Amino acid sequence: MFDLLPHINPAFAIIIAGILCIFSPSHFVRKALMIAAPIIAGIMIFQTYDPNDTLRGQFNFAGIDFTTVRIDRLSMIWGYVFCLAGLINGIFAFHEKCKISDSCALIYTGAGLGAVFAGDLITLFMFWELTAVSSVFLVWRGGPAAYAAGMRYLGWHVLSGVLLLAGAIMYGRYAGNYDFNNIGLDVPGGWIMLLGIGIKAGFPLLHTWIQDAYPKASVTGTVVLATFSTKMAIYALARGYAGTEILIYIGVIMTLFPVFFAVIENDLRKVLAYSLNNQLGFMVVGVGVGSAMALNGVAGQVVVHIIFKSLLFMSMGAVLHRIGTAKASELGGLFRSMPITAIMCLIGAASIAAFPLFAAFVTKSMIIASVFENHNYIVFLLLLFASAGVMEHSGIKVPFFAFFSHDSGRRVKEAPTNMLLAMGIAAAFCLVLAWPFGGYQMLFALMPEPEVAMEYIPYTGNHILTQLQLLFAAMFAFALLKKLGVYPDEKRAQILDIDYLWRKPGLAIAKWSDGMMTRYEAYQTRFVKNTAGKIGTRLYQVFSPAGSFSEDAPSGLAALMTAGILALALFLVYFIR
Amino acid sequence: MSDDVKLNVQSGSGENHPLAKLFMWTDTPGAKKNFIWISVAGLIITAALMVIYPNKHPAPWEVGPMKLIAYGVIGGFAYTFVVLSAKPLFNMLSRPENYYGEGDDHDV
Amino acid sequence: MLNFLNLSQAWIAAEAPVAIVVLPLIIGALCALINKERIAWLLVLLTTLICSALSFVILREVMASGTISYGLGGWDPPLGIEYRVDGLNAPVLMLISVIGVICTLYALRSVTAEIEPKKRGPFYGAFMISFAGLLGMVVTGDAFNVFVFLEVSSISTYVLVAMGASRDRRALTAAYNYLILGSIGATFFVIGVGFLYMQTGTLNMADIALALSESGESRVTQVAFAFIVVGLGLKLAMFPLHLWLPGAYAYAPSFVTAFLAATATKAALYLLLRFVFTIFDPTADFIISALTWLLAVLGVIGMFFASFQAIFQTDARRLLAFSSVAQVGYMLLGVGIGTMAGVTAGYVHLLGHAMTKGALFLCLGAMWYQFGVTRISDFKGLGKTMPWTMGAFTVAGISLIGVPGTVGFVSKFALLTAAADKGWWWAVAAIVFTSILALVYIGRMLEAAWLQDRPQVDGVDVATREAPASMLVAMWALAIACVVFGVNATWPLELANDAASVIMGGAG
Repeated sequence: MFDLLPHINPAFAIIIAGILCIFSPSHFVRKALMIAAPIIAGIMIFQTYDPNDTLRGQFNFAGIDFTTVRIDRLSMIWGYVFCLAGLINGIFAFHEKCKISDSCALIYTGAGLGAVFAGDLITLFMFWELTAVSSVFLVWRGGPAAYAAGMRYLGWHVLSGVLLLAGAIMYGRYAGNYDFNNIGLDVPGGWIMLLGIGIKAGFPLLHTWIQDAYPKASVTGTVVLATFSTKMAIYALARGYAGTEILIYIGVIMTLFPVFFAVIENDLRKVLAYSLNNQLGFMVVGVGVGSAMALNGVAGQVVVHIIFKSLLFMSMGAVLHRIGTAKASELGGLFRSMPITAIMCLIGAASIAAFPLFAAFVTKSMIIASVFENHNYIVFLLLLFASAGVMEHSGIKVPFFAFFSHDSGRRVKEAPTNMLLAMGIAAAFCLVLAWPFGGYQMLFALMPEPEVAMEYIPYTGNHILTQLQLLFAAMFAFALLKKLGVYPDEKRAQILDIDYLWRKPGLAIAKWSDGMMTRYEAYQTRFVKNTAGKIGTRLYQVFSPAGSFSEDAPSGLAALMTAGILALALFLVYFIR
Repeated sequence: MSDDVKLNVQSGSGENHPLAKLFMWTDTPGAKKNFIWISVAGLIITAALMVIYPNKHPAPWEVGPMKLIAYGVIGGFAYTFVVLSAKPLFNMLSRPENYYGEGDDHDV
Repeated sequence: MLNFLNLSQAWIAAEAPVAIVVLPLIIGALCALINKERIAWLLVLLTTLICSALSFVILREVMASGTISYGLGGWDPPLGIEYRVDGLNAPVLMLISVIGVICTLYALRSVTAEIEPKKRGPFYGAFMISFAGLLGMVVTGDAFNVFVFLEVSSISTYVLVAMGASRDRRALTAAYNYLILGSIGATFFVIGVGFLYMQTGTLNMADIALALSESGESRVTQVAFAFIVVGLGLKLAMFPLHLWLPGAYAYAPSFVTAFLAATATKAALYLLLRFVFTIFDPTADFIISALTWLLAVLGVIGMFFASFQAIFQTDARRLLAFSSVAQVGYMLLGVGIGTMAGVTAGYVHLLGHAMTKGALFLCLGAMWYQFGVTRISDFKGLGKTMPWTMGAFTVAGISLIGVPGTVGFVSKFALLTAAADKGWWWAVAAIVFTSILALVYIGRMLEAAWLQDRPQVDGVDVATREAPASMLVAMWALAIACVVFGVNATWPLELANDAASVIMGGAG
């Protein structure tokens, strides 16, 4: 029995818990499962990690070699942070009484974990699709307004999965196996798989599902959603496309464009969704650089990003839970009634903005420094630009408009205890993982190449000073612009993104074509009837005496069709060689 | 979810949370006025300390006085650029709230 | 005693190919004569069970020792009529008879609800004859005999479809359409067989193949081929010859629809495989071009058209019917690819789709039985009012979409690989894209059922009312089969591989 354990993907611990949740009538049993399952999965990873035996659970099935478990240094760090995030999500959602949410959140968590531990492309694809199918219910839990967004979400994700599968088949034919190792762009299927992964990673122009679906999901749903899909995609990139140069440029664009959308967006959860996209950009750049230090930075950034991003989403979720909206124009002055949430949000904001002593300070700089080492100064400069942008939308805008700014006059209760506890755990990790004396070293020790990571020392006088100067300058600009009255007020509006193209003109074209098709069909039926009436009355009568109440597919038409196909068949066998 | 939310929203000014004291200073006029000076002081101090901790691997643009204030200039410029671009962008991209006609969620 | 058992086993194995056809024919006549519903049902159940057992024996025998040949009436082939079972048709026999058992189980309640009391005896009789006809056309090794059984099964099927009239009058028109087109198809087929006879002077399939390979192809062969392919194409609802199918499936009694969807088109597809690959020479130029352009290209066009049509349907049965046309497109694509892998994929899809679509139509029938559900809008809240039925529907639905872990995925994956091997990337793209379309049309129903609230009558929530146990057993049997063969794909893949090697053995 115990020999079997290393061959079981830890994901199944969580997925099975999710299935049990469906059948559990008791709220507390479900919550216990939600908290216990990630812990058990974490222990399974710890127990079964063996540096000499990373590929496990292998079997051959229908001619394909499956490797269902691969726990090596790269996937392990993702695995641990996914388990931690699952635990935090479980605590955050403790108050919620909803079977669908509980079970889908668990299955989704498990699927994400399973994808990260997948050792071959087919297993990856299966878990990849499972994340899509399980998570869409979390979007739909956001209420009727989330329905269409959920459909679009599902469409994008299924497309992502089938692209991955199509690419995998091309690659598998070329390589002779489906092992998931470095793929690159020079092999058949490489581009298609990159496109499929890019959808989940929020590549520019493929990103809209993030900002579309996440803000519409339920309070707890968004926190869960924001954790797994995108980071799973980053893992797939790190595994398959490390050092692919084009990713540097894709990543830079990803860090830049969300900054401009975030500044004009009113819904703070949508601001966070854009900010998420921007953070993913940093990781994609790191993967594109591909050096050991850059990949360490990506892994570290994924860890802290999951923690502080869910902290921010949780704080906005708590606001939404209590107030009923997360729109900047409707909020303000909430520190009076939700001060603890405000502190948590500030810790999250400081972490994402990479203040010294806060989480991203030690990891984001690894990525930026690796770009600098390559003497890629333009990219370096643009990343600094984006860092200042992060300070604007996540560091200042989110906490300022929610908790400070002018008082909206709303007085509510502080967030529920379980939410505060979940936020507290995340905040503690934000601080501990950046602590200069033994804190960040723990994170570094988990990275794919700890020896390389340990060579990097984040807390040098110069690094602290430059980062502080950058942030102080941003704060100064904020204060100055505010004073001059140029800082824009928050206005309620729908901001158009590229998804405008398919949500308006695209939809209109689809509706128009549908209408035209209906008309055309009606016309065609009439035409066929008329023509048949004129030129082939006899034939028509022979085959369809029921005439007037014949169906939309009269047998006369079908008979003609048969004759046509026979003609085609004869033509083919006679003439086509 | 909307039901239990509406119960919790009390209009008018109820009691503040006891911990709100921590932040009350942010609401004073002094704080608003002096916030800018904190950042100016921060800028000056960091620039001054840069003399002691110079950048070991300077970028090509870190020459002359830029050695001390390069990051401040980049940060300040980037921030201002982003914020100033908000107005034209908003004019170009904003539409009425229920533009896509899918209903607006999470609204009081 | 043991000796006797062995002897009897050998005897059963030897006589099974005939017994499996003759028994249901006799019972069919008996049912119509007795005209007592319960007795007829019991007889039918017993017969289908025996046929299943026999087909299992045949399947085992074929897998162990290869082809079984049986000369009818003591006349040895090629003079007499030969019944011939090999790896290609044995699984289809098994499929038809097992689906027969499951549908009969289900029929107990659904026939009571849908057919007038007086007609129930003859109804079971007609079902038995149709069942016998399908088995006959699969088991026989004689080209003209195929036509006879084709007509036997078709004529009784027209009757079965028309009996849906007590539920919906439109069944009569649908049956009429089916009759006209089915007869055209059968006529085309028999004309094709006539041409073959003209050229070779024999009706035994193996003999025809031998004669053809000796004499080489001629204009007559080509004409025969065209007639046979078009005739069978009509029977198996190849796009655009599918026009009879949506009406017939939509208005026939539910259990007939499920049975037809799972077996009738599949048997016709088997015949297509049999004729194209083992009687004609599949390496001939004209056949290769016909495979590519007629089967594969039309199959792909059909996949698109029918999937789109399915999306815009409002009636649930018509939706599934159009989806069937699309699925036939997948099978034809597999056949059209023409390689070992392609035929295997098409064959697995044939087996898998029979279970999947059978389960879906059985669920729909149960929904009609309890709540009169016909339109997709009626699915509202069904996940709450009929959770078990909807559960089976969902399992089969995701198999239809081709989600991993179901038999639908196994066959689609095999098809994708086969198309990729052939280098037909357009086909790969089409399979992927139409799978998304399938997600849309199935998703519409699942969404209405699971995410919408219970419907209300006079402001009161409709209570939960689950389908009767006999129906649940039937549909879950098929739904579970979808998952079992999806998780453990070795068995269907092996069967299909055997079938494909029968075909490709001739091609070398």
